[in-house]
Amino acid sequence: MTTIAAIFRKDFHQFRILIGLLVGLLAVLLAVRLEWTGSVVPDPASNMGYQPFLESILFLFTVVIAGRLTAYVCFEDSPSRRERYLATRPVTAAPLACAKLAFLAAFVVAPFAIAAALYLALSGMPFRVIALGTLESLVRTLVLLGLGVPLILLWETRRRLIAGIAALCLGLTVFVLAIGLLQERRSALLPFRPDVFADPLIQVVTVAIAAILLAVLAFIHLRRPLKMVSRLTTVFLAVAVAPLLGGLLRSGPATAPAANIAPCGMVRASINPYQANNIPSVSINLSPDRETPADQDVTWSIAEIALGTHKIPQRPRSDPRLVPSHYFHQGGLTPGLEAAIHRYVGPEWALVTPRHGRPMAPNSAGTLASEADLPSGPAPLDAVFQGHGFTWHRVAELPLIPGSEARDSDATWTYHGHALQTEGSLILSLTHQGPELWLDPQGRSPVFENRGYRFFLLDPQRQLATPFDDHHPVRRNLAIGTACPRRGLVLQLSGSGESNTFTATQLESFRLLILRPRYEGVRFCRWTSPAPIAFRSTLPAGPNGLANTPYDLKPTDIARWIAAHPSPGSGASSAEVARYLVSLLEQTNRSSPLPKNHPATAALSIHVPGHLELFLRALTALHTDHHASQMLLFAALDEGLEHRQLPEIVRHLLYHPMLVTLITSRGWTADVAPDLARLIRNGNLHQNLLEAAAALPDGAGITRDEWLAVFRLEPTSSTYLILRDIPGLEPAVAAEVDARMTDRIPLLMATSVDPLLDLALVRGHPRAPTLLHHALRYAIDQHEHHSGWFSNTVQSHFDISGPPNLRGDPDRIVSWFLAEDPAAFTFDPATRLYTTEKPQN
Amino acid sequence: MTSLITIQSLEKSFGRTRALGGVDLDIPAGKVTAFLGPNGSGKTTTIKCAMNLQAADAGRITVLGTDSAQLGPDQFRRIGYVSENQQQPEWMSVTALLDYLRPMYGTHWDRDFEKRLLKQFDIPLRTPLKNLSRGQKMKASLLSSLAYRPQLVVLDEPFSGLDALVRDEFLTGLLELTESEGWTVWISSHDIEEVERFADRVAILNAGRVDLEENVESLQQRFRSVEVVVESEIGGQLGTPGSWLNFQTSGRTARFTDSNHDEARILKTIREHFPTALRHEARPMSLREIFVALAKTYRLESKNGTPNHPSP
Repeated sequence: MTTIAAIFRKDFHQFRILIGLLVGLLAVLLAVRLEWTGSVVPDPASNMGYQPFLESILFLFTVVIAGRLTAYVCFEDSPSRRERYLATRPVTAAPLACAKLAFLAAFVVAPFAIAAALYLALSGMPFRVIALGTLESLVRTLVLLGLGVPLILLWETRRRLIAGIAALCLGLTVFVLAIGLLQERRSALLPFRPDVFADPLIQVVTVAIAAILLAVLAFIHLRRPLKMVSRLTTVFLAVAVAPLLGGLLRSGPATAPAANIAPCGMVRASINPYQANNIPSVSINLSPDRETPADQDVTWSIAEIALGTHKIPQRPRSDPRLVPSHYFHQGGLTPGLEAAIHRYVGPEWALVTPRHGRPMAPNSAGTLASEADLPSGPAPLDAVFQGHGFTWHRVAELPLIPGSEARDSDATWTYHGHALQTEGSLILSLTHQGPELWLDPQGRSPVFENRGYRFFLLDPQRQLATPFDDHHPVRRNLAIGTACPRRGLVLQLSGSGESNTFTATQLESFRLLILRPRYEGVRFCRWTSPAPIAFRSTLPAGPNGLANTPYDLKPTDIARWIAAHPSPGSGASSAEVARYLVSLLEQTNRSSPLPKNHPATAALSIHVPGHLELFLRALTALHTDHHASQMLLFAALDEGLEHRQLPEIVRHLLYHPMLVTLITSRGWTADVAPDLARLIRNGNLHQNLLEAAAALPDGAGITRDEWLAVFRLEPTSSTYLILRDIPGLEPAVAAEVDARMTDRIPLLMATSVDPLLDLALVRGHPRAPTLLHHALRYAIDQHEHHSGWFSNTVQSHFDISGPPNLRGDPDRIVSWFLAEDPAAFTFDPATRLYTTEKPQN
Repeated sequence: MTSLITIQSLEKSFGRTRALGGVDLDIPAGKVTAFLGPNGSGKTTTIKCAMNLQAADAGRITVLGTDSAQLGPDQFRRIGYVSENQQQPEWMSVTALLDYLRPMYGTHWDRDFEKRLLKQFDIPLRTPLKNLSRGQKMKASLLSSLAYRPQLVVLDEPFSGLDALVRDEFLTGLLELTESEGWTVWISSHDIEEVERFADRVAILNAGRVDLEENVESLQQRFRSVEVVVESEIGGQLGTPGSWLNFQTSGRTARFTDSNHDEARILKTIREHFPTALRHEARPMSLREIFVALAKTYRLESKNGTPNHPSP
């Protein structure tokens, strides 16, 4: 015991300055984290808050000092150093280890733990959080020491120790690079998603595994010294292997056991050519028609996918905590969020979204298939989907009075103030502090960016809920890495730039609603395309990105070019036609769209019967920005196509479904009915294909249930308009619309009409006129109303034949509509218009 | 005679450099053994291997009856090790150093002896070691290695870098203690004159091997510097006995070191080799002279590749 005390005392005396520095830094860090030196509250007017740069620097220094202290204390009397001062003194390993461990416990572990406990206590956290937070600090420090101490004990000299640290860093770098490379190549060798390391628990476990491996190495080395090369290699490998093992802990099963995989029903398959790293590829986006509760959002990912017998490696997020929050941000709103608003504020409220619309189709899951992944011939697509379900729940509701506070369990939300900016934006400043304990299995929060919180501004007078822009709402973070970080948030509602959206007086009655996601479980389903898909046969090699073409030519310039460069004539060779086609398209790429009877159409159409393949190749190689060229090719094809060439057109429908218009315009649709049915059943729900199939007397043989699935996967007014003409289908489709209208609340948009409202108007939903009325009133209030946008909607869905002189005058149409009582409108199924007159039987 | 340290066939290489090529050595109890050898001969490496500060490549070392690789607290309580190469806790004062070490030795530490040594060595107690002179540091190191009355004192180049006065002080103290305590001392040095004052035995290391290991007294009896004057100039090659080292002629005078001197026999041997010898003088040699004579012989051996072992 006396030897232990002597060594401990000696170390304390020797390193007292470093100890003092560490304790001092921790004290200053604590003061900074408790905001004694500056507030984290963002200033809404300047959009600025306290910059926690000081905290980062202090934290870095603290870690460096703690690391140096550990290194000095352990290296000083390390048994690896045969010539250490104590080597010829009567000291065994046990008292030496005890003294060193006691020192590290007292002057490294304890200061961090005490600082953590003090921070939590002074932040007003309950005992449970303080205890768990302190324990987390202890575990984290111990695990890091567990890694550092064996690493230090492995080397005889400082130079070798530095080499060892370099080997450690190199191992980590190689691992990161290897994972990055495997991820980029989507290799089957990648055993997990790299984002598993976002989870603090995985970080700690990974470091602990590395610590165990190094401890074993150090134990072996101290018993029987190993060569320098062996030690460096082992350190390198241990550090490369540890994250692999850590990641595998969270990799989980890629899919559920086969017995739990239900069939998906129909799937919307969006298969498009794509250039990935200059490699021709195909992007595959799939949305399964899988029934989910109305208040749930499901983030689908592909767990397995095979094109024929070839599997494309997939790594779905097995842990729901790792689902990125942007999954919920697409379009600003999700059905689950709408359901939550509906639940918390009442069905009579409306949702406002200044920018985004609402996604109508179900969430999709995507993958990329490179050219090498594509089977040479037609092959079925087989996919297993994994969906993590989330519901949304109220965390807090704050009145917009500076200083107002709301608590959610142990977390606190504080509202600090707002600023109305000249361009009409509203900025709110608030802070949030709550425990984020990774040791607490119950309280482990999702690892979403910003923890998945969504914010809504509630206007009780007008019963409007407005979601805040979801870009970078977190402005300032303090005490990151502690069990209870404090965040300063800036929430922004962008204005139109014309006027203020709100007045200060209005805001006094407003409230801020905060929602967060709750995990509801995982589900799986499998889908196999009913028919094989020929992925490769028509794979285009067209470029992506912006075309950067100067649109400097007019149709008249093109006509002059045609006059100067006559078409080679119908008997010309393929090479001559190809040269001419390329030359002409180089011109039209720079032009605005050509009129229908433009001489260019005639110049090309004469070559369609003999050289269709050239035209289809040109179509696939064209940049999507070159509209004039595309339209010219379509016009030439439309004029010159012959019936014998149908199979060639059908072959190209996978990537160019618009080509079906060439078939329908010629009245050849019935000849391709089986092909249309095959494409639709394979998930290609392009409007032109649906339109062509639905126009056939038997709907191309597609069943009623299949059409309803198509509608669920593509629930737009356009689809409704296509499907309602299929005999006997409209009541069922209308019922689908009605169900949506029950589940979801109307969306008010300043510049356009909610697509759901558009759908309700097409369907003739009784609430639709009132909702349109509401939407128009809102748009006018926002001073962003442009009569043209709304007058088209009114003209399309309302009988305006009664009032005189309305047609052609958008302002008068809108004024007429607003003057009417929306409740008085009824839908006339015969005219498919709303009217104030009683429909005649 | 009991040996506290026995070294057998000790080998050690650093990379491709062979430092020790089979060292055999005994350190007898109660004696002061001087370990001599030119710089780079392997003295420090041998001592480090014996103290388990370096791993041997081959061979066997027994220290206080224990394999040197297994040396533990029991042995180190009985060993006082002082080396010029030893990294000391330089930030400590002498008092702090003693306070630090004292508990490690428990009851073996003799406080009264410590006080006596402190008084004898006369070193500042509160000054950090880094601020002490080299001699004071060595004294502090010696003090910290003697205060527990070790049975075996191992000193690796303790006089290195000390000026004459300090060396004398240091040696006087060490001599007194060695005599009064009856310690076994193994001291490596290239300062032969100082060692001569108290060494009982000498071991000379050459090119990684012990070439000579003998009591100082018998060594000094065995070695003589001989000068022979003859009638006429000495010419041509002379066949000389193997025990005559560094044989040189100059005019009518021949000089050599007799490494196997016998007062009765020398005259006869001289007459055999120099029939016209007029007179001869056989002068006793200091340890330093013996060492130099041997060193010259070793150098010659290594040039010619012919061993000429000077042992009796």
